[in-house]
Amino acid sequence: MRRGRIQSGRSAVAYLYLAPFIVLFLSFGIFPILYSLFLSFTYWKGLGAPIFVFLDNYIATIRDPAFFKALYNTAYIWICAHILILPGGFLIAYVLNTEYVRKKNLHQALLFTPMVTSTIAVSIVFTTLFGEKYGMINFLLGGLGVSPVAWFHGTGSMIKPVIITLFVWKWIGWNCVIYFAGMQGIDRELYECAEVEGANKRDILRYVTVPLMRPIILYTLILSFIGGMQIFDEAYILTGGGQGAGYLGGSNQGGLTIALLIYETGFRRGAFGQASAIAYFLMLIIVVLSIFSFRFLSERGESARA
Amino acid sequence: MPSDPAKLAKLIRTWDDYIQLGKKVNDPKNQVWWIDNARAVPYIYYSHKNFFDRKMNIAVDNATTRRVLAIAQKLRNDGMDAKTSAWTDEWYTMLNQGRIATTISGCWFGGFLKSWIAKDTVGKWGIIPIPEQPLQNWGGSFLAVTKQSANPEAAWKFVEYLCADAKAENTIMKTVDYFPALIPAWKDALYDEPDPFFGGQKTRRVWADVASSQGPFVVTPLDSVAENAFNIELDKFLDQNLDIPSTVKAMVDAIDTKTKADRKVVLQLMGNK
Repeated sequence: MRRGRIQSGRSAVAYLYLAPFIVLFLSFGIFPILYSLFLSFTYWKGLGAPIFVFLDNYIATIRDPAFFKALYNTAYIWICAHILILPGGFLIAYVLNTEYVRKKNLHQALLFTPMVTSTIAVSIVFTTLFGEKYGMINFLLGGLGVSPVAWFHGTGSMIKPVIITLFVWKWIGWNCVIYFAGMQGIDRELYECAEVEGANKRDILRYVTVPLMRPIILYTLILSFIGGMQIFDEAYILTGGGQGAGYLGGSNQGGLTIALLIYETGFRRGAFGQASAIAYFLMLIIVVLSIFSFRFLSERGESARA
Repeated sequence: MPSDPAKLAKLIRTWDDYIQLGKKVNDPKNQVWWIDNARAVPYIYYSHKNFFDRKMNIAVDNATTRRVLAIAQKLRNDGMDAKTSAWTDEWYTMLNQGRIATTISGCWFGGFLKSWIAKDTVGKWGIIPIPEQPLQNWGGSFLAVTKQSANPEAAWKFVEYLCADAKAENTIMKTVDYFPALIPAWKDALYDEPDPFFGGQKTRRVWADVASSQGPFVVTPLDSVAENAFNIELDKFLDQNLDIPSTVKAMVDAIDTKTKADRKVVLQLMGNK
């Protein structure tokens, strides 16, 4: 069927409306991503022309112990934080959804408040809270008879718990609100049917609520995976932004996340080629992990249906 | 401990003297420490200098490094350092409250103390040169005229004014304690004036005397990257009480990993001159 003149005129106008976004997206979204791939095969310090070095940057990434430390730190923080955030947020949303809690909107607003705070401001507060000598946390621990903890020094192993605490404090409200909205969308009749059939609260949760919430759970899982891989603000501020000591990640680089490593390599060392290689290496890892998990999930799905 | 800086300097002729004296002053129970962080001792020997030799070989594996690491380890293990990180609120507070007896820094730190870190502690500070190798460098500001400059003559005149004019240099020194690299500037009467912030000590003459002593440095474009790698291993060494040989090796390996690609380029650039 041939398109009428009016319709193609309307198409042109539609594209015109989209044009600003497309131009901006191509220049600031697609172009940097592709240029970064090109840079990852070069040696470039920001000035002059990039020099082609084949896979040298990728080899240097594998040879750098800091890369594996950063991967470990990022995975550790992500797993620990999300064990608390996802099931925890779900549980809080579930409780909020029951009839025992009144003023649901107020509770939602309170839970969501950390989300609207500035990460940088809160991180600075947390740095003071967890200060070794004069921090509130060590003061309270002292009251309980526990000796002061070197949160940011020593072997650097306590830096990750602080980052996790900050991250959980900030993001649990977000997931909670999303789960709550999802639960509100479940038809009450389904619960009544289940109760009539003899199900108790635990059965309802397991056989009604969770299955119906599956798409939302998947959504929060994917978002949190992407966000977790990119943790920067909290780690940067909590480890002093590289002040004093000059390097990022704190003592023994215990708080060095992948994003921090890329930032340090690119903007502190000026090695843009190397930083791009680290970023693409990470992408490779994520792609491989995703392929495996999709295969695994779809197999389980198929066998469940069979 | 004598409060007259000249007498104190005579008492502290070596780092071992420094530790001995510190044992008498250090009082952690009353929240007073001899030094802010033991890392300051090795750091001042390697603050963006001396990581490489003139052929861009890594030059950290030597007797000096081993000595200063040992001194730092002793300070840390004997509880004489406050383990506080410089440039944090905790550090500023401790400086203000007189909880840190000594800190190693450059001349410019006087300006910082006077203006924004501890302006109410007038008369409570003094300076002495560090023992064994007093001539060190930490920081410094540099001006350069780029090839793309549209007005290189005027730019150079400005550089000359700011860096090669004794009067301008000494005005800066008087205002913010930035020590001039220009040797003729040190002859000025300013350097024999007492500084009230330092209890009337003629600190500027002390700096000029230190600057006139011997001590070669090697600086390269890769020093800041090498310094980061060095600092990471240094902090691990102190925080986890590691041994010196493996720490020195770790420092060399870390610097090597982070600067491998760049060293080749720097050598090429140096060769092309």
